[in-house]
Amino acid sequence: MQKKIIDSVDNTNIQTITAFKADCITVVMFLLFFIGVGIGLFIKKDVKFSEQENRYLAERPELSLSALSSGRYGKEYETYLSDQFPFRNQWITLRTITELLLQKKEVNGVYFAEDDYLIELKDSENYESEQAAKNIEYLEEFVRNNSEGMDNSFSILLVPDKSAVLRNKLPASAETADEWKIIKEIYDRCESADCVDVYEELEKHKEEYIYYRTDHHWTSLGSYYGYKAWCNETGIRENKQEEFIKTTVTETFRGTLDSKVNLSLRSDSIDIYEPAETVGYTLVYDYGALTEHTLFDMKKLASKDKYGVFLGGNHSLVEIHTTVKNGKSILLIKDSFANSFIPYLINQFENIYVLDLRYYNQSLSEYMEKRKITDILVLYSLAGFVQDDNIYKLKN
Amino acid sequence: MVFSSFVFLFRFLPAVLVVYYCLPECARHFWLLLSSVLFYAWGEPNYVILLVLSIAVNYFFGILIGYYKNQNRRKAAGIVMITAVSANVLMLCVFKYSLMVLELFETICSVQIDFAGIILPAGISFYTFQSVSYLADVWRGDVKPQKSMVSFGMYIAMFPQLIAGPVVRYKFIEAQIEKKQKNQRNDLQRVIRNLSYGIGRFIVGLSKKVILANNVGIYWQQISGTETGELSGIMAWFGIMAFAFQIYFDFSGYSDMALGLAAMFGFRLEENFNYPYISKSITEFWRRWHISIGTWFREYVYIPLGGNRTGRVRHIFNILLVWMLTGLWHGASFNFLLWGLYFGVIILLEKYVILKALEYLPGMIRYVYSMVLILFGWVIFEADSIGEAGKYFKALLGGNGWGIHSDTVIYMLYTGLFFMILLIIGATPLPALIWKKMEKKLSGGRRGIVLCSLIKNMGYMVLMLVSTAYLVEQSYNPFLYFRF
Repeated sequence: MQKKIIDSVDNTNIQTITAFKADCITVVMFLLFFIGVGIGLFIKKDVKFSEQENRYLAERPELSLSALSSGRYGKEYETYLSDQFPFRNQWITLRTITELLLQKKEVNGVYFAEDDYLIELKDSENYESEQAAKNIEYLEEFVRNNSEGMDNSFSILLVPDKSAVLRNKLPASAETADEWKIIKEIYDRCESADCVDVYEELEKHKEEYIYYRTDHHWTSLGSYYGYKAWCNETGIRENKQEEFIKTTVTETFRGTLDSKVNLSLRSDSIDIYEPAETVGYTLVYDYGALTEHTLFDMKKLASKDKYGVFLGGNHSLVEIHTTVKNGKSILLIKDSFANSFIPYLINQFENIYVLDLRYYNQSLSEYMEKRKITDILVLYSLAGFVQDDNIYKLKN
Repeated sequence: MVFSSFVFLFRFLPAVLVVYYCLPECARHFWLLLSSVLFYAWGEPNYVILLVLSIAVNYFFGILIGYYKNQNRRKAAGIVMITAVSANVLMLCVFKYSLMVLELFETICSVQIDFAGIILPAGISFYTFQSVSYLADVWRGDVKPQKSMVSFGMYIAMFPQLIAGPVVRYKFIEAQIEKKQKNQRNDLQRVIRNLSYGIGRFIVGLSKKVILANNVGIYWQQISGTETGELSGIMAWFGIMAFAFQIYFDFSGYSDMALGLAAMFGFRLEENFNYPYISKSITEFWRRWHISIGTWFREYVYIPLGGNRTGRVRHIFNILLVWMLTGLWHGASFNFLLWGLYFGVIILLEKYVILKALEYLPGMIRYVYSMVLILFGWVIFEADSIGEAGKYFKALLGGNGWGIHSDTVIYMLYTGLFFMILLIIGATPLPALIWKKMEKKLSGGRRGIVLCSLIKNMGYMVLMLVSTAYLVEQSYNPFLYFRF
C-alpha cells in the first residue's frame, strides 16, 4: 500500500518533470529562432541587387525626424527587413510549396500550367491603362511621320505574351487578356506600316518549344517564327531554318517567372542560331564603349540572367556592322524580345542599329538622319510595350 | 507596429522579452510600459502623446474617485466619475466620430469642410474603453485605485492588447497586476509554462492571420472589387463567406496572439472568441464573438441602464441603444450603426419570439438560420455605403441571376474549394477536440508525453516557418481594425 502511493507520486512527478522539459524545449527552440533570425538580420551584409529577382533590393532607410514622425520610416524599415531577409529565396520556395499544398494553381501571380510551364497572367487592365493609350498614340505618330521616308521597309512586330499563345496550357477557366484583339487594334491604327502578324505564326507552332518554360521570353525558335512572319510581311528574302547552325548552350536556365515562385520545375535550355555561311561582323556598344565580334555573350551563361547571352543583355545602343555590302541599314527599336531575333538579320543588312528606348536618351530623328537608315523595325513584346514609360522618346 | 511584421517578430519581441526577464521584478512593469509606448509610437508617432495623456489623466481621476469614496463622499466621487467618463467619451468622439458628424453636416447643409487633418489614432477605442472600465470599477468599489502610475500605464498600454484588443477589464486583471497570488517556489516552472503556452498560442494566432485570413482575403478582395451589379448569386455568397472567414481568422488570430503575448509576460487574459460560427442563434453568436467587447457593453452600459429589470419598453430601448453603440464602436459610419441595430433587432426578436420557436427545430436549421443572418450582417459591416449593401443583398438573393457566366468564378470556385473546406473545419472546435483526445490517450506514460510534445513542437515550428515564408513575400497583409 505504502509503495503504491509512492509509485503514483513518483509517476505524477515524472509527468510534471517531462511536461516541464517539453515546455523548456518549446521555449528554447523559439527563443533561439526569434533571436537567431534577429541576429542574422543584423549581421547579414545587405545585398544591393538580387540576381534572382532581377531587381534592386530595399536598403536600410535613412533615419530622420520627418521620416519617423510621418510613419514612413516604419514602413520602409519593414520592406528593408523583408527584402534583406536571410535565405530569402528559400523562404519564397517554402511559400510556393505551401500554396500548392493548399491546392492553389497560382502563386504570386504565376500559374503552374501544363507541361511544367510557368505562366504569368496578364490583366486586361494593363492594356487599357493610360500609359498604354499614350504609347499607342506615340507609335501611331511615329509611323505617320516616318513610314513614307523609308527606302525599303517600315515594320512593326508586337510579340504576344505566352499567356495568350499558350493559353490552352493554363488551368481551366483562368482568364487572360485577349492579346490577339489588342494587337489587331494597334495594327489597325498603324496601317501605313508593315504590321507583322506574328500571332498567327506562333499560334501555328504552339506545340513546339517557342517560349521558355520558366521565363517570359520567346525562345530562339519562337523568335525564328517571328522572323519568318516578318519576312513574309516585308517581302525580305527569308533565311531558311537549315541555313543556321543550332547550338544548345545551356540546359540550366531558370528565368524570371521561376524567380517569382522559386520552385525548381524543369529548367530551360537555350539554343542559339548562327548563320551557316560565315558573315563577318563587329558590334559597337554605346558609341564605342565596347567592341565585340560575337552576338553571343557566353559569360552570361555562368550568371543567373542567362537570357543575356543574346547581345549581352540590354544596351542603349548596339551598332552592328557586317561584311554584307548591300547598302541596307536597319534601325531596330526594341525591347529584350528582339535580342534573340537579331541573329537572323545578320546576313541581310550591312548595318543593324539596335536601339533600346529605355536607355537611349538622345534625339532619335537626328540619329536616323546621321545613320542613313533604310529600314525600320519596331519590335516589342506587347506586354512590355503597353507598360513602358519610355515610348514617348519616339518623338525625340 | 503590428504583430505580423518582421520588426515586431525579430526585433521588438525578442528584445523586450529578454530584457523583461533579466530585470528584477520591481522594474518589469516599467519596462513593459516603456516598450508598449515605443510599440505604439512606431506606427503612430504623433498620437503617442494622446495615449500618454490619457493614461496620466485617468490615473489621477482614479485616485481622486478612490479618495472621495474612502472619505465616504459619494456625491463628490460621483461628480468626478461623471467628469472622467465624459472626458474619455469626449476624446473618443473628437478623434473618432467628428469626421462622421462633419460629413453629415456637410451633406445636410451642402457646404464644403476641409477635414483632411483628422486621422483616427490606432487603438483609441480599445484603450479608452479600458480606462472607462477602470474608472467604473473603482467607483463601484470593485477594485482599489491603482496607486502606481507605472502599473496603471502598463495596464492601459500593454502592447499585446493595445491596438486590436481584447478589451481587458481592470477588475479581471487587478490581481495579476498586484501579484496577489504569487507562488515564489515554483517560479521558474511557472515562467517556463507561461512562456511555452504563450509562444504556442502566439504562433497559432499568427498562422491564422498570415496563412488563413490573408489568403482567403484575396478572394474577397477580388469579389468586392467587381462591380456589385454584375455579381451572380453564387459569386456573392462565395464572396461574403470569404469575408466572414477572413475577419474571423484575422480577428481571432489577433486575439490569440494577444493572449499568447500576454502569457509570455505572465498575464492571463480572458478568451475573446469561442468558435462563433458554430452558433445556433444570434444571441449565442454574440456570446462567442468578440466576447470582451460584449462583456464590456453589458457591464458598463446595459446593466447600468437597468438591463431587463425595468419593464419591457425600457428593456427594448436598452437593447437597441446598446447595440447601436456596439455598432458604432466598430467604426464611425452609418453602416456600422445599421449593423449594430440589425443585431439589436434580431436579438430582441430572439428574446421574445424566435428562441422559443427555434427550440422545436432541428440543429441543422438553427445553424443555417444563424449563419445566414451572420453573413447578411457582414454585408452591412463591409459595405462602403448603405446603397452598396442593398445592391449586394440583391446579388445574394439572386437579383443578378445565378448563372456562372465568367471564367473567373469557375476558376475561383474550383481552386478555392479545398481551402474553403479547410477553413470551415478550422472554424469549428474539431481540430482542438481531436488534439485533446489524442493527447489524453497518449499522455498516460512518459513516452506518450514525449511524443505529444514532439508533435506539438514540430507543428509549431512548421507553422512558424510557413508564416515567416508568407511574410517574406508580402503581397497582401492588411490591418483590418484601423477603423475600430
